[in-house]
Amino acid sequence: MKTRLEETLGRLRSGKRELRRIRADMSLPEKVRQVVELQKVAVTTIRRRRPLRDIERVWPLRQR
Amino acid sequence: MLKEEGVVSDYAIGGAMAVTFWAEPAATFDLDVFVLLHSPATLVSLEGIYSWARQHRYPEQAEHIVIAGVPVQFIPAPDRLAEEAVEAAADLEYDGESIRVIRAEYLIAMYLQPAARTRRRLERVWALLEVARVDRKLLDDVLERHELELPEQP
Repeated sequence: MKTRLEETLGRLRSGKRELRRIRADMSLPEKVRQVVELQKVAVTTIRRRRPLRDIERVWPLRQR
Repeated sequence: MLKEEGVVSDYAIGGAMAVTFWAEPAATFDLDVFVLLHSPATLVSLEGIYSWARQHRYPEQAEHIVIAGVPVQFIPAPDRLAEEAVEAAADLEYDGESIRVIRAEYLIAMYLQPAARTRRRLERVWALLEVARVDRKLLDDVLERHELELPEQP
């Protein structure tokens, strides 16, 4: 019999899998926009710890 | 453009952006482009690419060429697996342009090479296997021919 902790972990894992599938099925432009959002987060985080390297910047996406 | 202008014989996007195309978006700041050069394998030189970049006024930044604000790293295919990956790349459409992207099966194989195998790359392997609709027959064939093995999933 599963404990409550195991059940919770199982639900978390399957939720994560589902999220991955949804994100994998996004269109390419949407995925690129998501990469840019990740860059914004990364740049903010890195900047708090050290100066940014030259390539560590947010891509300028063309407006569609 | 590089291919049409004869600078490279073929190219394909690899690395995190290729993973993004087949699976979920992955954090990256640059675009890895694997290229097949016209020059013999013993004379690997990116001079043709840098000269093309200067003609188009794309700035150089260390090992990257910045194209439309995106740092692009051109990587001559280092071995037969990478060459095959470029040759077998998929043609996808992005923003009205045709782009070549290394297939998920080849990305997995490239990440499993001993010199390339890092924890982050293994995580990408699992992500690709989970959501990228991998052709297992093709993957098994590539892994077998290049003497690679899938490690046990944690």
